[in-house]
Amino acid sequence: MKAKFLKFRRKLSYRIGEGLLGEDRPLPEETTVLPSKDKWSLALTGLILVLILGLTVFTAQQRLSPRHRLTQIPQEEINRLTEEKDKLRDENARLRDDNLRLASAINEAREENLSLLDLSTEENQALLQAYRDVSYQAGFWTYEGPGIRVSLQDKEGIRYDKNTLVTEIVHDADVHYYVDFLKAHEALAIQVNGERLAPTSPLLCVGSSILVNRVYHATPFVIEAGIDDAEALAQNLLNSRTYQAMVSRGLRVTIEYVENIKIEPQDDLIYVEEQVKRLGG
Amino acid sequence: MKKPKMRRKNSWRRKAGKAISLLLCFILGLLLALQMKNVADLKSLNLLGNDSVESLQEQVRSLSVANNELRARNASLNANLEELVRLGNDDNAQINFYRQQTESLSVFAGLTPVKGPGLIIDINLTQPGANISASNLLVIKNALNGAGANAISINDQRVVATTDIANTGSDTHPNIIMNGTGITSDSHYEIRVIGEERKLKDFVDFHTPIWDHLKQAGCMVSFSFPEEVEIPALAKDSPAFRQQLLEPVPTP
Repeated sequence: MKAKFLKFRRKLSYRIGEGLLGEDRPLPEETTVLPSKDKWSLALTGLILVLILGLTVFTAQQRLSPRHRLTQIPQEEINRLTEEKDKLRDENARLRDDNLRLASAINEAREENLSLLDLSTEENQALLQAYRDVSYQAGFWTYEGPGIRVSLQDKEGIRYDKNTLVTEIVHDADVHYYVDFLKAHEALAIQVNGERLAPTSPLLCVGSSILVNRVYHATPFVIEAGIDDAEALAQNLLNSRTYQAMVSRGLRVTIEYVENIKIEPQDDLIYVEEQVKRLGG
Repeated sequence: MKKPKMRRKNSWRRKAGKAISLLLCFILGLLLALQMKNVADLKSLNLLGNDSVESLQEQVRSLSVANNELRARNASLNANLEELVRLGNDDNAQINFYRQQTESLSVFAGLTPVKGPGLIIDINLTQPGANISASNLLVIKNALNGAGANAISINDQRVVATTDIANTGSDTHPNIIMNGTGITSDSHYEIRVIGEERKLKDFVDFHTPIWDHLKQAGCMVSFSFPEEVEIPALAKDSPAFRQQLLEPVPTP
């Protein structure tokens, strides 16, 4: 058996030119090949190699061609979607500007009206005071002063597939931790992704979005609060075990003290109206 | 005589073999490079193990929703602004407007008692060793907010925008405060909720881990869905009732 293998190996070595298998020994007597046969043998080997190569190239082309088409179609789709997204983003920025402008105009108009109100009667004075009190409690005022900004984002580079760990994603409980902490330290005004928090504001994470009041906002989740002693509280948060645990989970968490933070008043009148209607107001 | 001829032939064969193997290696390398380029292209298009098209579609969808929402919100603000401008110097119209605004904002802020269909969660602590913490109540309150509750109170303390629930006291004498007021009870905690019955029933069914946890802590939890649940207003003397006390002094 071994002798047969050695014979075959030597023949092969001879046929493809010896050097290939590192053999440089003379062939045994019985395998001596005549010059004409030698040429035929080489030609046959060459033909087989060309055939193998042709087959390889053909198979590769067959496999690459549909993949090439696959790359072309999504590329067109990606271009179209990117263009659409850019347009929507521009529109979003414009609508946000309008929103801020309108909210500010309403505040001015309200203050102007109130300044024109006849306050000579006790009844009107009481009404104005009551209106100011409920506006304040309802979050219809702008906070400007020291504050804290917390930003939460999922772990960088995750693919949101079956390999993604639950701990690598920001959950409701993570957002609630900071909001509850700020409330426990007597925050005067809190907003999450620009939405002023109301008494029963839901904070619900759905995938990479968060539902605040009645609107879904995309990640990152930014919690901003107007609070006294903000600098010390920001440091407390940075030293907290929960913050350390979030960081060790790979979440991207930033906590910063902001010397002069601005918390916009509640501007979602649709949400306010819905809530009031449901409570029979 | 034959030996030099054989040697020449062998040398020629060796050269041919080397050339063929070189060619083979070259073609193999070329194919490998092509394949790598192909994979790199696919990766750049995020077709391998990523979902760029899906992610873009999701971004477009959420931006569309956000824009529609902003449009509606701006329309509502516009209507409000027009109303304020229309009021102008008309004192009666102004007074009516602010009276109506005070009433509705008072309901929204939790400064008015309200009633409506809802849920009452009774957490009984009469069993020996039963205990509940502020974090348990916070989890329930936050979950209720997520379930679409319109108004909530715990042991007659109304949940408002700045409501805090925290543990105080010592390990031997724990206390729970809410809205800066003690709500500690040895016997039971009553959580009253106004909201849609279907949503509240789903809430109870969906959050079994919370109820199981409380049962493990020795609490007995019961639920009822009355057609009318009354929820008190936030007391005006509550520490959570915050007023804007600083008024700017008009310059002469």
